[in-house]
Amino acid sequence: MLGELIVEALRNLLRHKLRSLLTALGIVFGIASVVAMVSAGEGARREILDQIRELGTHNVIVNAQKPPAEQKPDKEEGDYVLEYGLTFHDLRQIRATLPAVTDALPVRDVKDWLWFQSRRVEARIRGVTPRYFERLNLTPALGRRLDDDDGRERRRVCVVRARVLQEARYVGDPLRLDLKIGAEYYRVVGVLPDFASKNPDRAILGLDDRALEVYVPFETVVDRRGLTQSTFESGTWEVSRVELHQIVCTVADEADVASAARGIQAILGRLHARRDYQVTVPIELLQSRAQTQRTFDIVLPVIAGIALLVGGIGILNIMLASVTERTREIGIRRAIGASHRDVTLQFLVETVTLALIGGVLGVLLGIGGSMLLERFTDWKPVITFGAVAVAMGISCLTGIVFGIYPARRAAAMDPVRALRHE
Amino acid sequence: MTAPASAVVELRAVDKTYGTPQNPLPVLRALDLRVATGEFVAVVGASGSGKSTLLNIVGCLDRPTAGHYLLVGEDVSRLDDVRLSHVRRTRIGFVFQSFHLVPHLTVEENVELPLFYNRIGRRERRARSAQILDRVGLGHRRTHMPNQLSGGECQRTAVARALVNRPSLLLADEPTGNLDSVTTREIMRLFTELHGAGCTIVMITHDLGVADVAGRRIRMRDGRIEHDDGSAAPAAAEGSCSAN
Repeated sequence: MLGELIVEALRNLLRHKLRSLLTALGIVFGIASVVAMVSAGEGARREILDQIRELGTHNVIVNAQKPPAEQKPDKEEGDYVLEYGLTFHDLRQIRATLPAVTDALPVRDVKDWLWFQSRRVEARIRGVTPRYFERLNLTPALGRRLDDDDGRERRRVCVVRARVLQEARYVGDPLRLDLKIGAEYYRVVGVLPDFASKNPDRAILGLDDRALEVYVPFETVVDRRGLTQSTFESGTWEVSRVELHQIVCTVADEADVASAARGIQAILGRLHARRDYQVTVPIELLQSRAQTQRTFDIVLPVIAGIALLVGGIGILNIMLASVTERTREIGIRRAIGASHRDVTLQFLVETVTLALIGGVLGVLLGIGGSMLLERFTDWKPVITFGAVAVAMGISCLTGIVFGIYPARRAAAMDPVRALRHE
Repeated sequence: MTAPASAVVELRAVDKTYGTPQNPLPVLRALDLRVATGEFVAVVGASGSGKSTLLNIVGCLDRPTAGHYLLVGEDVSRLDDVRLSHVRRTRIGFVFQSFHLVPHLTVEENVELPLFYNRIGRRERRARSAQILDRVGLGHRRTHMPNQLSGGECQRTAVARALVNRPSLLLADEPTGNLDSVTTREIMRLFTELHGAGCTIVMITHDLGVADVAGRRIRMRDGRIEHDDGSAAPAAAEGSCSAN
């Protein structure tokens, strides 16, 4: 019965192809925008998730921070050493007092020049321990990570970002390159891929898309460069002493991350007179970004609702006209024995079929639109089965809501008068 | 309140009033009519005499304002839409002056419509429509569209549609009004055959020649029966208008 009604509805719609298409257009665009928006939203959601995962949801990251508004005392410049940041003592305290923190890794940064023949480029030399690579999921595309022996033997080896090789215009085997850092040569043992996507939160790790990054064993950096560093900034030489630039703490259980972060805050608060450090919890960033995402979740249904309202009114309008146009047919069907319900069902099925056709076209258009979006913007839309199902559900619902009234009107016609209608 | 089993139609003091309560427009006034099984009744009368309204009430398209209508012994004057529709599609077959075929359905689909509303399956519908179309001589036109048929063929399709449910009563509203004299004779021959097979027919007509074919003539005027030449013996006493 219903199957035949659908076939009949399709035939009726096909008799007026252009009209049906134009009528469905409202739904088509409504549904297309729903699909495109949902998939863009889903894409953004997953991107955020990936970005935060890149920082490690089990991690608490402590960064050294140059204290603000620190006036240089009136001393002779050469004598003055700016001392700030994290210390080995901090690291030991965190390791010793917080059982939830299963691992705390030191990071030491040095800025220096990379020399390519006579060209030099400023790079960030990061002294890291082998486990640093594990904690931040850094996997070399080529070669290996740094290992314990590298540190123990103070080897002059390094793992570089692929960009560094590009910058060096080096075309040979990267693992045979001896990179000149400052005055010393370091053998490249591994190459890390460049970042695939932009991640605004990456700065928290002290990672920078644009910076040339070279990872060397922590012990080698401490051994060879000491703990003080001179930098030439705004016309003067500045000498600073920073023991550690970053401590990456890892917590075994995600649920303990927040309390561990509070513990770290407390320890550092006790040990430091100034706020020369900053504690960041990636998972909390995730939560706040997800909060932002929720705004999108509210706006989306509103826009979709408006689009479908417009589409639905279009359908309503045409179905009312169609009912009037087919008054005589309705009279005939009634005379032959169709009840109110039969006529209502017939027109309702026709409206819903039209809306569903619009829905299918809309989904296809939405998928196409998402693909274009992916191609021409840096968004990464993700089309989920759920989004398509919801879109089809909505178009069906639109058909029912806006089909009820014309169908009722068709059914309510007086058969005698309907038969006489010209 | 049961009518004799042989009465198909029994109207008792039926009133039908249109218009508003302040400005009533009586169309039928205290009309009594009894049509026995197997009768062929022609209703004549000037326009506005109420014969179409009578037919609509007899055909359960309309309900009387007052009085009772018993169709095959069942009082249908107060039924709701669902039941009345059911009565229409099981008891009654309609033939109209302007054929009233659904223009975008084929001949056989038009004929199958009443069966569709009777929830009869596709295969049986097809078989029954084929059978009845053969009976009215349109077996070769089954898949044609109504606009490809002549007037006579359209009307025969309409008759086939009216008969496909084996109704108790065939109602015809000026069935020959839009036909030329040749096809008129053709259709009347069909009606006579149906009558001969035991079908109860009530037909409205302007054409006295057509009315003469019927066994019983009723003349209406101002919502009343002015003249009724009485029941002639039915050709055969059979309950429904079957195809054979």
